[in-house]
Amino acid sequence: MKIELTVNGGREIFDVAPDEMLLDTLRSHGFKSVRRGCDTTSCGVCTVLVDGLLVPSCSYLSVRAEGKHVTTVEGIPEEASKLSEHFGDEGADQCGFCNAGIALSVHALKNRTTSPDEDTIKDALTGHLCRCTGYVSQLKAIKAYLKEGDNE
Amino acid sequence: MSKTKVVNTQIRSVDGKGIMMGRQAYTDDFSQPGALVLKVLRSPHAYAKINRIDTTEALKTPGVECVLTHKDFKRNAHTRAGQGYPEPSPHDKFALDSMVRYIGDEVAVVAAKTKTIAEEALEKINVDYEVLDPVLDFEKAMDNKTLVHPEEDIHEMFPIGFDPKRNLAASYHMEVGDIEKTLDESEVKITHSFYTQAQQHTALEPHSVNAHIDVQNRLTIYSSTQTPFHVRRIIAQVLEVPLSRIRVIKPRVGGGFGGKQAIHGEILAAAVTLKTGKATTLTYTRKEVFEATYSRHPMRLDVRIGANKDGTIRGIDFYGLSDTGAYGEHALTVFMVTGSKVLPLYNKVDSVRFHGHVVYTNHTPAGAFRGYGAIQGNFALESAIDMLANKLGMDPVALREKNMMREGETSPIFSIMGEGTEGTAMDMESCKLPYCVKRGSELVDWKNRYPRYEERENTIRSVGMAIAMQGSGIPYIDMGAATIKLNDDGFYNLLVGATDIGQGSDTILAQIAAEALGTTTENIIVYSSDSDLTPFDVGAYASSTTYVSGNAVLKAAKSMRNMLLKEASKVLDTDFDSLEFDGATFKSKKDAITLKDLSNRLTYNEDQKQLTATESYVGHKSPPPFMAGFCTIEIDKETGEFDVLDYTSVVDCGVTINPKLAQGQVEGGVVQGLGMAAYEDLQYTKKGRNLTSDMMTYRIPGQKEIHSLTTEFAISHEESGPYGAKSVGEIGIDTPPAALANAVYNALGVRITTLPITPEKIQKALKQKEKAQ
Amino acid sequence: MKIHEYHRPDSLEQAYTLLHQDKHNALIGGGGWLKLSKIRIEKAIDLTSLNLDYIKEDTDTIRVGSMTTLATMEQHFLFDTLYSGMLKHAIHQVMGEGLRNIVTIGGTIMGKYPFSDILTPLIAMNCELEFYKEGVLPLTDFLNGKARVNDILVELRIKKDKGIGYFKKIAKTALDFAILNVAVSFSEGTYKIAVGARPSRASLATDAMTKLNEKSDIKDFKHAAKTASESLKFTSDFRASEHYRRTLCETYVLRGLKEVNPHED
Repeated sequence: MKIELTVNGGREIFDVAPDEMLLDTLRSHGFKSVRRGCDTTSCGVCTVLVDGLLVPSCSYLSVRAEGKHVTTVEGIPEEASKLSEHFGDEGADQCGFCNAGIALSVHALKNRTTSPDEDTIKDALTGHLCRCTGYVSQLKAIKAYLKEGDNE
Repeated sequence: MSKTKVVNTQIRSVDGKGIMMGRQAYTDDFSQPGALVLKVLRSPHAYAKINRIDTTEALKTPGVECVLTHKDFKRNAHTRAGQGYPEPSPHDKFALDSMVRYIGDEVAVVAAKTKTIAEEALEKINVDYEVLDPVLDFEKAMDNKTLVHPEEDIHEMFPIGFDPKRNLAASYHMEVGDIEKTLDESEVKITHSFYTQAQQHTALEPHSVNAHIDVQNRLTIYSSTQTPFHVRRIIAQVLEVPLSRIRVIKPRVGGGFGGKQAIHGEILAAAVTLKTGKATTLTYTRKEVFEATYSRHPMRLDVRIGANKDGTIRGIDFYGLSDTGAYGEHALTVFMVTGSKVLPLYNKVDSVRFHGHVVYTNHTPAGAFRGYGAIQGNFALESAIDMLANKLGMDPVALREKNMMREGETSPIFSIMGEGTEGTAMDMESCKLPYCVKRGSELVDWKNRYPRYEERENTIRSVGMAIAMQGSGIPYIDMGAATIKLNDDGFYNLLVGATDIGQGSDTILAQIAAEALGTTTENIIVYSSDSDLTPFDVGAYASSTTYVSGNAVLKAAKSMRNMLLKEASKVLDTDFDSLEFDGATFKSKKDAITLKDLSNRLTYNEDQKQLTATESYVGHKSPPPFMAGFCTIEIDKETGEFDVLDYTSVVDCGVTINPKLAQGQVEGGVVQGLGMAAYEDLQYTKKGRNLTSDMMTYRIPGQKEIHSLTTEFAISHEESGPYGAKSVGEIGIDTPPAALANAVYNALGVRITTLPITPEKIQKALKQKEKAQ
Repeated sequence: MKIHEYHRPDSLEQAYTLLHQDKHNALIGGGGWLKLSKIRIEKAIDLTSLNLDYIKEDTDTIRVGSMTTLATMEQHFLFDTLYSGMLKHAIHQVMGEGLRNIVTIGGTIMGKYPFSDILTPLIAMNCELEFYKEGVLPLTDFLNGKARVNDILVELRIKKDKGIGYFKKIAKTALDFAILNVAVSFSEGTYKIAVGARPSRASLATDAMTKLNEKSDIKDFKHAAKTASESLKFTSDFRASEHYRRTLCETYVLRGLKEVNPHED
């Protein structure tokens, strides 16, 4: 089935199977930042934004993305670059496999809340598993990033 | 010691930005377009003979290009373990076999145009299994009438206690002094058995490999691996292809922790590519990662400690039984570390014995996993030490301070126990363990909070602690090498075999080189882990990267510096010794030349030559990092549910090359250790199937489980390490299980000796305690 | 999971017809769990064009369209205070934000999932379901299987009772499925006790409730909690034993009762 949608601001027409998931569609069309971490919607690695909302792309039927705006981390290069600097400052930049999904979550959080408190940030990150950092450095980095954004 | 400019400063990782921005980075990102997708047929039985396997229907499926079974492989027994050659693991595995030894064991591989076709074809393979009775209880495995490996054509590479007729993959025995006599003479004794479970690495990136034939007709493999050079050697051995025809490249890896320190899909991908001439790709599903890669060795440890009434520990006896599963990867070496990187903590005993057996069962094979035996041994020993403290009526911190290893001391165990072979004697030239214990106690207010504090209607809080040590590479075995190449414009390439699996080795090695060359990491471009283009390195394991690979980089950088000074002195027509070099400019008394200009001159203009420096390093000792870990919990007195309020770590890893990355290693290790302590549990059904083979049923700690991590480093300097560094990759994981068990005991007076420590076990123990009173 | 054809009807009648055309046709709700099943769907019927994504307020009812996501419900002010925010508190603990953005209340209810943290607080309130053809029936009847429905769920109706609620999920980690979940409510003198993930589906502890709701002056919370734990069925699985679940039930029902009516006791 042909679907027409926007990915990172660019118009795309994809030919998808009715049971194809957005993760596979995006990845096979060159959006390599969208990756698979598990089989069970449990890890957050495959997170993308659909119309600004976080979704697990491994469980989102591509046919449902018809007419929608999809954002992958390739679509927010400045934000990702800035966030990575904060991750680097806190030593939270380890294997990085969870980073793309987290960057999008932080982006969505920033767009809907100003100056979120620690609990709100933690809530936003809950769905993202990380095996490398132990979470504390990530949280510090994200807080610093959001604070810097507030000051701008 | 002069202050360093780049080492021991906070530098962002060299690849963090690219990864966060979504650039192609990991193995599957480099899969060739149009590569054949591989799917592996896996055994549904824990133990079975394949009487007949028919792939005709599968091969007929349109889009299927190749199906391989055991009939397509020569029987080359090997080990999948990524270790130096000759490996201390038994050669007991065949690429594909006519016997399957665990649920998930490989039966056949299908290569097809798409994943869907490959999955369909998989279902069309007809296998006639003769189901056998599996060995599923590791305590009944030794001398069981059922043999997991009855075949004759398997062997050990050198004596490791391999005795498959007794279901033994390995065994070990060492004794210092006379343990029975020492224990007899001891005034106070502790005797207890501890059980540790199979933990699973759960790196976020599933195992992935892809292969293709390049323009020189060579096999090029991208693999998510910790040991690219070992992978190359093992593929060559198994498929009987010359090493020169194989290239292995490790791109970014999304976490390893030991789970990628062994072959996963590389042999099958290589075999299909060689047979078809086509590119292949094989990425495991998360289920395959759980079922068909590796787990941590579950163990039972029978501990006996003898001490005087004044708290002097006289003797320690450890008997260990380790379950290595269906194949013996890392069987002996993990087992030995259970003793060698734990028992020396109490080095002044009169006698110490470590012995035991590693058995085969029909479980998922166990293999390397951060800590590598030390976490299992630490849980047993540090729990037992607290039991001793309780029995003596002594503060657990005081008991440790009285007996633990100190700077300048040694232990006889170092010279006896290596990794698979004899060890290397060494004195602790750097050991800040006493400081770590003291500082940690301060940070958690141990004086006022031990054993428990803040009791409320439903809950109570408490503190518990443990100490740990690990190693820095394997002396006389682990070799790392580095090449530094000068470019025009005055920047360097640093080529290392060392394997960055996310821990940041590319970054810290750049820092070491930058420090030695007087420049910044922006001028050092790191390329790592390509068997063609980078020099050798054993890979990322045994906490070897900072210490072994780091020393190689330091040597190479110093060598390059000397070469540069020699060239500059020629150009400036001056004595080598009177030249100054600040990393950017060479100055003689009268003249100067910048590195930029010198490099351009050497490349294009005069006396042209390419400067490269290659150096290697093999350790002569393995200076241990040390740590004191303190766990503060709040626990529900009725239900046993608990929350880890804080985990405090004070670590001696010598100098931290990159303080935040080092902290990241410790904290990541601590949380992984808490996972083993409290949340993770690989469970099997009665038939031997992995019940917890997805991330819904196997739970690793998440954001909400971790409230506070406090991490500090002791000021320490290891002379033999690069700029005073020791390694730090594993030390964080060792203490949480015992620290948590001790905190629970301190809160409620019940001791859990089987991991994981769960609320249900705690509640059960409380009820039993009530009944007994 | 395989889908042969994808349809997005623009009327309930069309959707209903498609559903009944073939037993292999199926509705897709949020689709959050779709990937995990081995089901082969002939025609997948997507309800996203039927304007079933709404939360409306009547005089005495909150009406939630079946395609409303859990995230939408969690963020809606109407659930902030209803039964002390019990339902919102429960929804908040479901997985991560990403999943809550696609899982629908309709899918949750029709799935009748035993591990559900949503069904438990729902049955501790007063809820009804409206189906397209079958009409309105109590949520509890639907969950008990008293009514068999091969129909399209249009909306969930929750009575805007003035009541106090308590919800507790006991799980190994925050993202894990519950070992047990407990909801207790107290509204206009009536207590409700719901226990789910036993591991079987949420159920009301009717024996315990009867005792509490009898017209008597003495409310024995301890006895009610014990009755709840003894009258409900629990089993063992790899997450927890029957015995532990039973003791958790007793503990948390008691704590819940004390919290919803601290003056009693």
